[in-house]
Amino acid sequence: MCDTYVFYPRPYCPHCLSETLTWRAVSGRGRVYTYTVVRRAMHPAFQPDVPYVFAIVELEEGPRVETNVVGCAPEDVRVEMPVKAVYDRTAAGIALLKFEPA
Amino acid sequence: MAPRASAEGLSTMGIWADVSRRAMLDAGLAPSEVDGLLVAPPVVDMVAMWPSHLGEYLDIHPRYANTVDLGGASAAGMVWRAASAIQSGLCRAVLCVSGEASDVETFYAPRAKRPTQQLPLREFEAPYGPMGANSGYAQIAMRHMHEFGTTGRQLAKVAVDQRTNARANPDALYRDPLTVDDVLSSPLIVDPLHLYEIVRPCTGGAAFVVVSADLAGSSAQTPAWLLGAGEATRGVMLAQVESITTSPIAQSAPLAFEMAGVTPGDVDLVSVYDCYTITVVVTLEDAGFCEKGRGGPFVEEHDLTYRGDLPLNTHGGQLSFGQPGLAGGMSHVTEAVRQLQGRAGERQLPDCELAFVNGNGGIMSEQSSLVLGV
Repeated sequence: MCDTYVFYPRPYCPHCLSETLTWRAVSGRGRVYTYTVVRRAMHPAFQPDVPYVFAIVELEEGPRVETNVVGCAPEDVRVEMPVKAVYDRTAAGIALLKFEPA
Repeated sequence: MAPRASAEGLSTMGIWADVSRRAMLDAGLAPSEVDGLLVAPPVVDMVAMWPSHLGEYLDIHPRYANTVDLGGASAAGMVWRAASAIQSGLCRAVLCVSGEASDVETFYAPRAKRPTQQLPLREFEAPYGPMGANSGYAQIAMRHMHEFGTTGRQLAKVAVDQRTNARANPDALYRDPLTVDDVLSSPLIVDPLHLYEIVRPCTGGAAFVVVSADLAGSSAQTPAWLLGAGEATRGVMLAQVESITTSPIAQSAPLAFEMAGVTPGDVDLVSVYDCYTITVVVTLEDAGFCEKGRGGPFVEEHDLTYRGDLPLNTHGGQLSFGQPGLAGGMSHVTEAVRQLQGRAGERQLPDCELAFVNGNGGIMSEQSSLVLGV
């Protein structure tokens, strides 16, 4: 068993093959590793959000997640910008992990 | 087959049959002599057993058959797979086919119409609104600009030089004059990428035949030889990649050059996958034509047209020639072969003996590099 973060979740650790995996709470802090501003919606569900920021955030603890940066204008987003986690609690009862400027 | 903007009146199977027939005629081979068949599947039309369906349609009975799905790298990937099957003694003539009846409308049709895909992308990426491959390459470009200072004008130059090439290619889909300012003033689709640096889906297809050396003389054309090949892949989701500004080309290209016993400096033609302008910049870096991070200044400093000092995508590339599904990658193979054979018409290079071909799939995920020569 090793001490490596696994995300997105797998049925076993890709590094050591252990099936003993534990959820661990992290700080919620990170930086924008990269982003783009989507100006044409690929699916009607996203049309109201255009233009929106589709980003990869690198958590302080190491793992990276695909997400949106919200709470600021798309023009204000920068690579390496510090951000913190916010939750978009959707009507379907699912919380989406998004980030806003820290 | 020259690409078309609309799928009207055409079917994928019909396109495959057409290009297959023309390839066999060009190679001087009877269908009964083709005992290998590789197919890169259509993106919009997923069905199983494509090689067998096509074999039946062509009345070909292969000893070697496979679907090759490395995304856009499928075409280049078919070349060395065919060669290794021939080298193993399994077969002697492998017909390689790709194409589809598609257009912008069918390519961006609602995903609900497609079979459900049990992929992590659906849960950990889709809810945040990616725009297919567009947003992935845009994210690569954004990070490349941050890490290396690459500029929008440098990226745009790739599209502009390739358009000059396309204007000398009667089969290219997009042939209007294009300047860097035209590219940068075209609408932003996914920052920092503008409309004219993003490939557009179309209808088309291509085929080629890879044969054993003893069959090379059956064609009236000069044979182009496979001198080296290398392949490397990584996953599709960018958040799972350590450094998105580099690619597996850094592994696949050196393997191909080493096998061929040549270096990037020896190459007369660069024929590389260009779904976006950033794709070409990263490819040139990782294949060793310039240092990592110097791709922007490199494309600015060199003339990439068929009249220039570093001819690149002399057919116009996917950006100007067109991308019919996975056959987008076919055009870099066929253009290299045509240039080596002296059949590139107005855009023919004066002395083309060595070509570097790269096939790229996913979000710079799958890479298949080739060195071809005469």
